[in-house]
Amino acid sequence: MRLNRCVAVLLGFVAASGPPAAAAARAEAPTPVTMVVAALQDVDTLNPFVGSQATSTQIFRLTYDYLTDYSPVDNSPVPGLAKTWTTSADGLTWTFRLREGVRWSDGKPLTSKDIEFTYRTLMDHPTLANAAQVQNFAAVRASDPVTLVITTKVPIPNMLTLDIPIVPAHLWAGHDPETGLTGTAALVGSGPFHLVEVRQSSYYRFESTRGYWRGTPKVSGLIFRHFNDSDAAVQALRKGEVDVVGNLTPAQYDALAGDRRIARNEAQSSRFTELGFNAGAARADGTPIGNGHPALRDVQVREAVDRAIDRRVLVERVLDGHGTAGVGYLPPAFAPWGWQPPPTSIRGFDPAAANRILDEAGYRRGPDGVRLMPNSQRRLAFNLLVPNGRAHYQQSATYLTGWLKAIGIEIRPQLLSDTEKGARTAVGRYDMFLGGWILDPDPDYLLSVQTCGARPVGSAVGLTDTFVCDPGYDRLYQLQARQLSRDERARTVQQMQQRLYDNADLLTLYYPAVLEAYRGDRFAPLLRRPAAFGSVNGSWSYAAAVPLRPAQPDQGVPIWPLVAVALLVVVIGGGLWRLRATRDHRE
Amino acid sequence: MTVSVRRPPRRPLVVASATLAGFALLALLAPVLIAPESLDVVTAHGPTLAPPSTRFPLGTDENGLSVLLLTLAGARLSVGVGFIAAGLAVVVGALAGVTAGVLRGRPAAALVWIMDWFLMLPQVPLAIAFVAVLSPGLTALVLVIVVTSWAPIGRVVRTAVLAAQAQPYLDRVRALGAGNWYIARVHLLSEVLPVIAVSAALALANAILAEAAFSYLGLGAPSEISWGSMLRQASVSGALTAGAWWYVLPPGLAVIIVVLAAGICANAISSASTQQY
Amino acid sequence: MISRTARTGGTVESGDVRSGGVQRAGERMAGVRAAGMRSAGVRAGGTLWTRVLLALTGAGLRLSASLCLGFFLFHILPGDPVLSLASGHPVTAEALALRRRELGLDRPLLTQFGAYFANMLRGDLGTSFGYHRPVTDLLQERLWPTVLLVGTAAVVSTALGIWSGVLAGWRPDGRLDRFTSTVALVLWATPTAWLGLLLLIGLGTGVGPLPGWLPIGGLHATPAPSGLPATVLDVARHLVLPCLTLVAVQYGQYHLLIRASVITQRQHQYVAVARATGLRDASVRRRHVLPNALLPTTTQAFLNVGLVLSGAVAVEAVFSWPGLGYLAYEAVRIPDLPVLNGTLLVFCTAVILMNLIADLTVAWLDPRTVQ
Repeated sequence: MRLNRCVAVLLGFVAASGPPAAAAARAEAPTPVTMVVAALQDVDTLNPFVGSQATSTQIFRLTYDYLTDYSPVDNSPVPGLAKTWTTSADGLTWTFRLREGVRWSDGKPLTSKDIEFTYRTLMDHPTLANAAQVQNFAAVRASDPVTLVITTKVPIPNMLTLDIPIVPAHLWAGHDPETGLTGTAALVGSGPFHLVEVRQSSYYRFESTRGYWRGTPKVSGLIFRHFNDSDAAVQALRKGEVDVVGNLTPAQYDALAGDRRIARNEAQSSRFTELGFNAGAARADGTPIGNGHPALRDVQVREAVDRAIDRRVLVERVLDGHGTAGVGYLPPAFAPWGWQPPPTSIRGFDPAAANRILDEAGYRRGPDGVRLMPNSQRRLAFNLLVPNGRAHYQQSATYLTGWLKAIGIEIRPQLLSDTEKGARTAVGRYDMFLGGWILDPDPDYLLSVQTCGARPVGSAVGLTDTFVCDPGYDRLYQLQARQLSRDERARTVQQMQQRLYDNADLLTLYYPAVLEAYRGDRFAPLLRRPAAFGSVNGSWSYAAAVPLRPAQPDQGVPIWPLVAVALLVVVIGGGLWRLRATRDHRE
Repeated sequence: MTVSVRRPPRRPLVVASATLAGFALLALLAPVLIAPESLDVVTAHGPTLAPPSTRFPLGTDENGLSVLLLTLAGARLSVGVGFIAAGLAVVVGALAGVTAGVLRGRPAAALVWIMDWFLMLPQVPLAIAFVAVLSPGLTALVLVIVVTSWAPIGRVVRTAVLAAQAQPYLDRVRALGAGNWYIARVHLLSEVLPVIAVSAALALANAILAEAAFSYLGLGAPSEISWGSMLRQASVSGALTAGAWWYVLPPGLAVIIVVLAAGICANAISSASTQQY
Repeated sequence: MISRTARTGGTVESGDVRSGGVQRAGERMAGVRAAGMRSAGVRAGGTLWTRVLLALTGAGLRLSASLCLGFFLFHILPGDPVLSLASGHPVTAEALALRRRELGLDRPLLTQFGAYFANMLRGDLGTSFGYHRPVTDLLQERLWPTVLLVGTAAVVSTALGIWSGVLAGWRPDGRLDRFTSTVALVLWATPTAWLGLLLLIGLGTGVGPLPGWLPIGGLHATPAPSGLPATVLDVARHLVLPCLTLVAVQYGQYHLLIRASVITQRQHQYVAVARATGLRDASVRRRHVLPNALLPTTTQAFLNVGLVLSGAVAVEAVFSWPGLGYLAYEAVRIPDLPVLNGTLLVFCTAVILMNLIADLTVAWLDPRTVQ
């Protein structure tokens, strides 16, 4: 009897709360349109000085402003917070005239002091994520609220492509940039959107900034919704729970072809996948480190490996045709920096030639078919570090194993996390690795990674990718850094890539296309950047997104699960109590 | 005292153990039965993610390999690891259980306390910890399963040993002059063996389920084929979105069949060894 | 049945061997319940307070042992975690040395252990390598979704298992028994992740004629509705599929366990007496058979909650459920050692706690406990 009354009360409570909830959901329906974007990578931190994951940097692009921005047409620099700029004759002094009337989301005005503070903080703390971009700054001075003067130690051409979010000095001053701010102060920015709700590993909710200087975004809100795997994200796209999904696998991309509600985009030439060698890992002063296989120091071995790889098959089978075969360091279509070797000197797929090269170089085959080094009888068995982040790395590794076995080289793939791989490559404890880079609009950073100076100093962790050290390459790098004419610089950059190709310290396997899909029935075609072949999954497209029609109201919510659960809890609890009470009756 | 042994129907036991034996055989012979070229992505040229056809009875995966061959090849790891891990766990657990049951006093209590602590180790977090700290592979997998499975077997065996020792007729046997060792060998063993057999079957079932779960989460041997890794590949390569049900169903069904067989064996053995007083 | 998430705890080990074993051992030791209640370090009889004290001491010792395990796994075994912190940025040698000093890696092992222990007791579990936040914060955030998921699944699967087990055990080998027991057995043999994937496709996205009106994953709709009733209902809706998966794979063992107990109980004399005096079957079931059969299941349910916490990792992964299990799984990728240490501790503590509750419940319900 007591039990029944409890149940009745509970049922009543639940019933009473049911209908108003459903009605409230329906009442929320009209106009404000929120765009929901699937985030496959979690945010590591909202501290703009520390965050380096892709999702974090996307959030910074939405919530903060930058000195300059990228043109959606061709990625060239366009005004951001800086309206105009001039350079001194020697290229060492830059004077920026800033935009007026920009405000922080807490109402205070944005002045040159904020930019000065941001850059000075990075200069003072060289371990912060973006500090490398200001390493050649000599001084930053805010001469008046709308003028910023930057002097550099050497001429730097990437002054107009600084990826540094500008933070509010009045909130950050006095705080340690490594730990960041807490509470609502941490969410203050000046960008086209501002964060209003943060549920880590669930979602991040933004609202558009009214009166943003570039124009109020047409979507009233934005949500980054976290998904553990891309299949769930694609299911959600089909159901309408998200609007934009990026980084699709080829199978997913092809599977969405028939759905008329969904628009797809294939972005080319923004990534490359490389096979890196340990051709002699050493520190900046030349001290060798690590335990790389000595055979890989022979450029003929590396060239033979290159000729054993059928890139066409990789593109067709691993990428399902969504990508292009790799040759040069930067994709040929990545204008104006891309390059490919002249047709006569391309090392194409030719396993017979590879075998010939190795035979003539003295690497005879051993009893098990694996070649041996000429003098030491050491087998050509290399380990291959494979990052576990994307499926195509592991698939490519399987193909590589087979192809290299055919020319007498044994490969042992090891699947690792990105950080583990980084820890191994940093100290040279590897033979080969697979890796990939996302191209910035300006190639300077990627080019710097292959310089002698990028190698570690002492026991530090260097910036280097494959411990390449070619003095000729370094000379060209210094040269392009000073060339302010885009055409001249492009020519120098191409010469650098020729040297990289000849050295064969790394092989470019392919340029995978970035596959994206979005609800074409809810939004007008999203903005690509660059316009010809670019991606639609970024801050530029969210800020410019145009909704097609108002959002659908949310569905009514069934209350039976909660009722069932509540009932069971009550029943079990009551049962236990009765057990206790009646124990004297038992046995 | 009468002992009546119920005779359960024998057919389930026969069918189940035949299934298990069949899969065990498959696990052993898979490398021999399946030509390595048909599982090499470089030489296999099937269409990617194709539905079942005459040439590929269970369709193909994202590399163009036959799902049927993958499932058969996956038995090697899934069933093999299951047998090895369960076998080791049973050996360790039975030894510990018998020792704890026969010994008295402090050593026995200490052993029981150790077993209880191992009982409480959660399986998946421990697997995650091992994989993070050691390198992922077969050793870590088998180690985790053995570490988390031996203790329950030990407890069950100990209870059986205690129960067997308390039987009244043993006093009479001792009065007739039988030594402890004789009693252990002749009387206790016949009581305890069925318990060990049932535990072994259940341990096998758990080991196979554990391997499937770990491989799905990416905690298993990275470049080996197993039923769990097939599920993982299906998720990672977007096969679900593409509606490739032929890629997802076979590994799960294979696990169900083998685990069910092990469970039925366990039930049948325990029913057969029931004695009613 | 040994529970599918590896095993039963100490209390129901006799129940691991199916029906016959329970019956036989139980009858010898004065009742099924006694056998079912033989638990770690708790002897039958004695005052309630003695048993409580023993249980508490045991739990405390086990907790300390788990702490030691955590230290061994995450401080001794890994080589040099400092390099992992570099995360792809160039780092100077001084910064690396500074980091080593901060983490206390340059002090002797014993000092490190002392500091570790002291920190644990204070509740300081370190800072996550991946999220740059205190581990305790992360654990707090992710704890309740897992508890909600696992707790609900435990309650529902126990209830369902009891209900169908009683009905099946009352008429063994009848049609209902054969059907439910087969279903229970097959579900027991099903891999959790696989079932989750199938449910996600079938009921989440919708395949063929099935409508996909359940959410794809996550804990809240985006944006989450405001107000308590709406939030509760929203979460409940998202809970359905993951909970259903967990219930399906756990239901089997409760069904089989209770069925075995009921079969045993039925054969007791008092049941025959009750029926002979004209009591309806349902009454006999409810008043006599069910309570006796319920005890092993109760303790089993408590023990399982602790163990299933870890088994829920696969479900959390499939349904993007932001819980502890998935936090641990994500942490392997880096590897985020402080988070791994924290989650392992939480899981061990949960199991120990559940065992403690089971022991205490058994002591409370056991009529042989002298008060």
